[in-house]
Amino acid sequence: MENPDTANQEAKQILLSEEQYHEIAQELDFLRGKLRSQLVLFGDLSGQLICQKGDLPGADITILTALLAGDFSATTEIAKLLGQENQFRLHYHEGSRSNLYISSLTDQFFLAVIFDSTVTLGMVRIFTRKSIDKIGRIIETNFEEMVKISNIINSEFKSYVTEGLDKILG
Amino acid sequence: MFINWALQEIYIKIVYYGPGLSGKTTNLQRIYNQIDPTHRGEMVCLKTMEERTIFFDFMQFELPAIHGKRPKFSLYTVPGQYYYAASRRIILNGVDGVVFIADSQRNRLRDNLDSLLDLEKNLIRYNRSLEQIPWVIQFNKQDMEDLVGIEELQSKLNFNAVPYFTAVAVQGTGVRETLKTIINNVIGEIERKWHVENS
Ligand SMILES: Nc1nc2c(ncn2[C@@H]2O[C@H](COP(=O)(O)OP(=O)(O)OP(=O)(O)O)[C@@H](O)[C@H]2O)c(=O)[nH]1
Ligand SMILES: [Mg+2]
Repeated sequence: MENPDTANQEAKQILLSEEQYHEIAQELDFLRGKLRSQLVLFGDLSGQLICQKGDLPGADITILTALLAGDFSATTEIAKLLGQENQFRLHYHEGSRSNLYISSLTDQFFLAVIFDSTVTLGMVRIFTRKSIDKIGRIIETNFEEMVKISNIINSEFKSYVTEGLDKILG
Repeated sequence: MFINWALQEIYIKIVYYGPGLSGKTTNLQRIYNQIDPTHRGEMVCLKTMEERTIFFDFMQFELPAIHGKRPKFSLYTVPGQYYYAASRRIILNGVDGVVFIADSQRNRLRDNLDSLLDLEKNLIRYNRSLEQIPWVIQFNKQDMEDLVGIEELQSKLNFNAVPYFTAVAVQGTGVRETLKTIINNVIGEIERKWHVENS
């Protein structure tokens, strides 16, 4: 039998509190302003979007997040093959009109910034690093997961999900 | 699973696994076509010119809000061809439930088994295993000739006695049932793990 302690040993964060979310959103706003960035995005390396500031007209951000997570993970795998595991914790794509900078936070999260050529890569590095550190501290803050999870996934939840699935799948 | 408390969103990740050509992408396409666009996003397929999955397929859908809570489901397929092992491992990151799509044709029995073993090996990399993760199995391509009988499929592949479904994914048969069951089992597992009281 698993108890919550062993579940936590998976070391995956599975809950973001309201405060944490708003603090992260604020940090992304700040970063976006500093770098005059079109879009900054914070996600989970499993492919899930957590918070975005700004937008990319015409782009599906949910799909973009899944692709970024896959791309980042693949690059990390490549780095391992090259025996350079630690040097690829960030990565950078240069485009003709805009550039993309991604760096990870622990093994679970990543931060992506889209910026144009009026901003130097050095600036992006420095400010992204700061934001990563800040968000790392926000996320570290202890939070009583147990109480909250049974609060949101309560006993009625499952039957509502079943109903909802019937509704949308027919 | 990931819960975003501020937005009241609950994210769940389901991965479709199985040998090459067993019908994983076909399952996702059927689901995509069945769900009203107001409840789902677009589907992305990273594939070769021959329509073989090269990295993953992905789509997300959400259920109507439940007392303000918004469950969202991400569905992924992996590439079945054996040399895409690294991609399969990446896609399993953060998985909550697995749908194993088996090819019921006799000459694919061995490939199904190899794929299951590969799945187990990859789960272990994330400190998970088939014994502990919710999964279901779909015996697809029931419309083909020279099939392995259900009993034999069951005894050779379904060693955890998980729920199983027969399917003809190209015709949509068995696709919905498979998805509904894995989602229900994932929610059941979350309830169990977090000691949600049943009233
Ligand atoms: N006869 C028959 N053909 C099927 C069935 N399901 C899928 N197919 C066909 O089998 C072929 C492969 O299906 P895919 O869904 O692309 O297979 P896959 O598992 O995604 O394959 P990979 O991406 O290589 O791992 C396609 O031509 C499908 O139309 C089925 O139930 N019966
Ligand atoms: Mg495929």
